[in-house]
Amino acid sequence: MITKKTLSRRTMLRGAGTAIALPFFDAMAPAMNSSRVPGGKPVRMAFVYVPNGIDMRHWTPKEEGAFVGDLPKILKPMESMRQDITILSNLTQNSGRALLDGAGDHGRCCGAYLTGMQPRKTMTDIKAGISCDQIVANKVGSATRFPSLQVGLEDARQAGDCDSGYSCAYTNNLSWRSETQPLPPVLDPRAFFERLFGKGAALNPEERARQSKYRRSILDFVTGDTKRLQGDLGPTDRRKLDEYLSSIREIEIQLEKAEKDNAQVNPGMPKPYGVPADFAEHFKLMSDMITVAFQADMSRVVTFLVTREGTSRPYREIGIPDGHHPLTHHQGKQELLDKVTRINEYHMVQFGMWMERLKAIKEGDSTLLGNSMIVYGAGLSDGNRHTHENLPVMLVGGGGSTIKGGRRITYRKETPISNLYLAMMDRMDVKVEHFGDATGRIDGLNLA
Amino acid sequence: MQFRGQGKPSLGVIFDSDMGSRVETALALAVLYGLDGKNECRVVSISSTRTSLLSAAFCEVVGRFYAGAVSGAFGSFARTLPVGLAADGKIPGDTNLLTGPLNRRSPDGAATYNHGIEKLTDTAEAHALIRNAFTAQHDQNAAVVLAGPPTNLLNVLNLAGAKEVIAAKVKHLVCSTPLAAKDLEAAGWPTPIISVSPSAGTSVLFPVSTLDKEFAAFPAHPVADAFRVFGKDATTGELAAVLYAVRPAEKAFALSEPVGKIRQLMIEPAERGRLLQVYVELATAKPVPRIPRFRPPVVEESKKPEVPPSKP
Repeated sequence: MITKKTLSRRTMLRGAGTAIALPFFDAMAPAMNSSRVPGGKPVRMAFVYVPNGIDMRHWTPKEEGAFVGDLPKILKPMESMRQDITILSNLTQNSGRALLDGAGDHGRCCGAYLTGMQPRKTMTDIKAGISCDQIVANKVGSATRFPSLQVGLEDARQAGDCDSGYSCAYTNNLSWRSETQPLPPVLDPRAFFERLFGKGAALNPEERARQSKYRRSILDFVTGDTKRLQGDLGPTDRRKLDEYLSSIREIEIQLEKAEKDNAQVNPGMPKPYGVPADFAEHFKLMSDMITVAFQADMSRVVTFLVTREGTSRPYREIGIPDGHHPLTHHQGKQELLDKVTRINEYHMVQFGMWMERLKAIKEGDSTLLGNSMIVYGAGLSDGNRHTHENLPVMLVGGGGSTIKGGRRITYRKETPISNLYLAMMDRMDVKVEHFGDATGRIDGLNLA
Repeated sequence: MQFRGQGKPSLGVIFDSDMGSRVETALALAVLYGLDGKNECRVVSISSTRTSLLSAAFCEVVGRFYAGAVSGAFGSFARTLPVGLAADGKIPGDTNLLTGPLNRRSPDGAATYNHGIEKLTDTAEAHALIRNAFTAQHDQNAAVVLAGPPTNLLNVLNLAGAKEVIAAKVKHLVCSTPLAAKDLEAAGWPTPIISVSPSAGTSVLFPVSTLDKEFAAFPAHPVADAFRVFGKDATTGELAAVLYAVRPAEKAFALSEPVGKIRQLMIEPAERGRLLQVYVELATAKPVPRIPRFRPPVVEESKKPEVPPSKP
């Protein structure tokens, strides 16, 4: 009989006020009995949402099937991962359409995006539907510390009119726990960091500033546990642990830098504590922490609202002082169209760098990206005309060796995007008979 | 895009057929667009149960012929509606009624009628298209015309929540054949069903002579070209189905007592002549261009016509 002492998947590094979950180590492999995918690694699912549609002229590859030649302009930052991405064409979100409710496509398309339900046009008694990420979180969330995580970069207002009578709750949230309860995204990197690694209640800015004056690295609090653990690990796992803890330290350094920078910036508006002034830096911080959360199996379900739907955020970082939303109503003017394309590219650059980091993390005989399914897309295709068909949808990752990338799959017109969500839920081992306005499950994703 | 305060729009009509089997289906579609041009209805969904790209292509060609009159279920951009096609339909193959018009060439060899359907993904999932069209209609402001087997409509009924949507939105379903009506009733179709009696179609024949008269006014008309292939007077049961769906008070029509949910549609003998005139007038009506209500296409500055200076 062969026996082997294994490390529990639930092992944590503990210290005063701190508990750091760990990534998947080889030493944990035999203990991963509850995993549901071949090889024992859990599959992660994330939805990354960008607002105001995407310039589809520079999004859709010309050829169907395997990618031929260069990727379109907006997808260029994904070039090094072209075999990991699948572009899905012709998917439709019917519930985002007016359907007799008049103006308000931005409010509707975001509220309907993951719920598949037409949001009620109101600013008070909001109603949409439970989102697909929450259906999954309800089923698999008990296996992780956080059933799901909601992250954003811009605006988490939950009240007021954000689009022609639609509550800001629709434009500023992706996840809906129930048909009346949206889950607001966390915007502040420090708050997100403390949610992931700290145990105490959130501190107010003054207390946090006072504490940070004396703050050491969070890793300092778990030195004892770290040393003990290193003794139980082989050389490969020890290197993995070192890289993992280094990545946490790097996030801390970025946070400290962002907070220091913020002290020198007058944004001219109230801003949550700790939010970096620089968009790219903010994106990197939040995505780094999602990476750690995925790596350490702290959560398998994430929604990431890059900026709120209908946002008029300018992008001065790339020389665009105009608001994003007004630009998308370009009326065919080339100068404005070019700016929209540049914003789309800028978002993709940030996203691409994140995906590269996921791909660089080995997980058994695959990578973290290989064990993930990440949908990048928008609730509108043409932001000028507010169209809800042929949405920009990119699926990144191998879904635990179940998805064949490197191609464009075109579905029949009016195929609900909810059909994609059902196919993804299957891969999370969450069997749902019906969701939103689905007419079935999309096919063609499989490896074979 | 529909805006509040613009009043209830005209009746939305969902037209499902096996386009290509009979010439009267093409004539019925022409009648439907004729009614759309008069603002009596809006064509909100077109689909076919014939598993033939040409069937969908012909529907799109007719839609483009009336392009300005394509009112659409989801917006008013005067865009051509996607055509729904049953991928698993049981009626395969192309017919002369389809290839005739679609193969027509101008003297320079170019196709007379353009369409964008080259592959299956250029068409819509029929049951999704039809269900989505229902969701965009006011309560009791839609009608369904079925001119062929009920495959697509049965698929719609199988969608979760579809029966409730149909019950809320649809005033009536008009079937051109009793068999389809019975199938749908058995499957739980939730609204009143009208079945066109076989005699209604044969008692009024659409004259082939219209090709040399009313249709002759058009240099090219896809329905006329299909009719030319057929080459003789056509039965009109499907035209009756369309006309009843939009004009149920038309005095040429009489209904039987209901058996279950189904009532039979019959033609008053004394009204046959007048009814034929109505069919011909509608089927040969000229397309009515419509100006999109929302964000008309922008003309680039350089292409804008010069405006002469105003006189003092």
